[in-house]
Amino acid sequence: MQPYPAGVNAPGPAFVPPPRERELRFEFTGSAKEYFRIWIVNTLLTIVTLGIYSAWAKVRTKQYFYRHTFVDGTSFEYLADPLKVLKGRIIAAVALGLLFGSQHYSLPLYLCTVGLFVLATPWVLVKALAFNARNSAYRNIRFAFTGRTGEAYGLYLGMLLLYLVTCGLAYPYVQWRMTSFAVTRHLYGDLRLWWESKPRGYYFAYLLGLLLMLPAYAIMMAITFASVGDRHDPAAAQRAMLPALAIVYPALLAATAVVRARLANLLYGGIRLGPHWLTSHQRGRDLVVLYLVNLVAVVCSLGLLIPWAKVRVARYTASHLRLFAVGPIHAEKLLDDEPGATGVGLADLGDFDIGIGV
Amino acid sequence: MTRFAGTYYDGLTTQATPVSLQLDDANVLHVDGLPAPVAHPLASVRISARLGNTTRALYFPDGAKCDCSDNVAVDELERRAGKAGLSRLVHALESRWRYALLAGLLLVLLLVGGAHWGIPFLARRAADAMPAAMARDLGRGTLEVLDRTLLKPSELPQDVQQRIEGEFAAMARHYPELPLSLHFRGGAPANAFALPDGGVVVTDALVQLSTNDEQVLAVLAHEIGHVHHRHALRMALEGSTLVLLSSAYFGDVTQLTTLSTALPSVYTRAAYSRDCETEADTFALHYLDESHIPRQRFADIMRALQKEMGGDSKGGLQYLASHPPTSERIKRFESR
Repeated sequence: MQPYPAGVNAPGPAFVPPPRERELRFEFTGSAKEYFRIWIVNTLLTIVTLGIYSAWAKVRTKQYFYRHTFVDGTSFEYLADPLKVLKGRIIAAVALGLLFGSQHYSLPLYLCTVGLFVLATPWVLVKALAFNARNSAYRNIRFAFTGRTGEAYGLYLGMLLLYLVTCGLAYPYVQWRMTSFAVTRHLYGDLRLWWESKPRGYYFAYLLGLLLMLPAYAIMMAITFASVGDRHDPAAAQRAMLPALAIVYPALLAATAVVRARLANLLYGGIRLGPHWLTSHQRGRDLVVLYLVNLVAVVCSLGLLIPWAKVRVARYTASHLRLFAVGPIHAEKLLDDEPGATGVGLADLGDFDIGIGV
Repeated sequence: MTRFAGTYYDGLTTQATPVSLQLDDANVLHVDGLPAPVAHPLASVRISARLGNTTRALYFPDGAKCDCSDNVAVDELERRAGKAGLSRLVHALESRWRYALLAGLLLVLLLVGGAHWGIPFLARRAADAMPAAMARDLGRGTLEVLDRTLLKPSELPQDVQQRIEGEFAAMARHYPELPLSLHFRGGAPANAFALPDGGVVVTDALVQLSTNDEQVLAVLAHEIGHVHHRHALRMALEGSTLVLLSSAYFGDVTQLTTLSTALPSVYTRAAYSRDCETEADTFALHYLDESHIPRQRFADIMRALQKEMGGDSKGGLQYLASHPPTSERIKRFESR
């Protein structure tokens, strides 16, 4: 600070400069070689145990990715009990079995099962988010999800109605609203997550994707009509479809990559945690290359390069994520009897996981 | 035991404190570097399982924990506590390339074996065990969908339909245990197929393509073979099992690629129907021989079909073709 000119009294209260934010990079330190061995052993054990080991495999995999994701020198932790994951998977398997079984057995039974599934969706969603949050920790402080089932039902029904009434045009808004619910009901210790992304970002992302797809669709339509118009030869029309698909698939890939990048940036980049905030700068053209290389690698290796592909995605996501921390990251454990956390203890009763992550 | 370093988190705040840890002879773990000394009996400390070279955690009974990246020291703690067991075995498997390669080999054997023998075996058992009523419902739905989308009512002359129906009924009397029925349909290229409920659909184009009724009967015998072996049901069961399994195992990859999941199931389903066609061909061969119809009839109609479809599938695509190469099948009926 500048020294005070002579004759001027020093000011009474000392001036405390507001803390400058620190830019903290997320980093994924896992390696494809290490994860490959974990993945292949876990896959084998899962098959040999007829799927029972899948719960342990899931927890190990998630823990591997969490523990290798660092920010500010510390990694995340996944603490789920594999037995609870197994319980969730058995429930899900029985429910799916009922759904598929009843399909061929009797129509009323099938419709009842479908109805139950639709009705149960918000409840399952809230449970899964809560389970995932409660078992995610950073510096020995856990996350929590405080969304209520009732609230989820209201939101779900409202959004379903809106979606139907607008013939799907409200889809970006619906997605924004659901994501907003999922993000802002999260706590990290006693810090609430806020979310600043706006619906217009979602509309813009999907519009961009649509713009990328339109020329490809137009070319495909033109080719199809031209070949059909020529002569009524089904074989010729089928042959003409090949170059059309060769245009549409890359366009689809590009559009998917661009939309995914924007949605990821909106999801992560909108998050505020107390005085701190996140930014995400994924780029569509990076994701095109990432997805394309992954696709070719996974297909050509008959699935053996899946671990490599997953590590690449994790590394990319982490390296484009930043935490801007104002002062030290300080959070405290929320006591179980405080409002907002009561649901956490109760939720243990119907505790299970179906594998939905934010 | 030597000292090792760690980072202590009390579980109440995010405060991180670098500490050093030491296990004494009485198996008590001392944590030094905190404002007040902390010590826990080793038996009350939960030690996170080793996973690659990720940071380990020691969970203390009061909710505090200590992160340690010194895997050797934590392994030694685990050994002293006498509670490593299964998790150490899993890590041993995961950490060595030879086990990973062995696992990969076993996995490939299991998957190939499962796809080749396991799922078809189970599907065959399930198809045989399925009640006739259930199979009938499945078949009825299929024909209804086909009628709405691909097929049109038959335009064959009534007398031709009646003649072939009569011959089919005579054939069906040989197999009283099968719920056989014949349907004529138009609007599709020359083809015949069997439904799960024992229905056999013949397109007008196939009847018109044939030069005599014995050729049609040879095709019908092939389709009855499909019904006899419950192929349609088996294919449906195999298909849904494969889709279910592949989505379970590749499910979390869908965000990386979507095409890679569809590929294996297409590949294996193609292989299944090859086996089914061969089985049905064998069935037709037996029928033709028993009924004293020359085998050449089947070869003739197949050749006509082949010409209609525009040639044989050749080269690398053969294994992906859902039928065995037609010329191979024709050869079976022409050789004695």
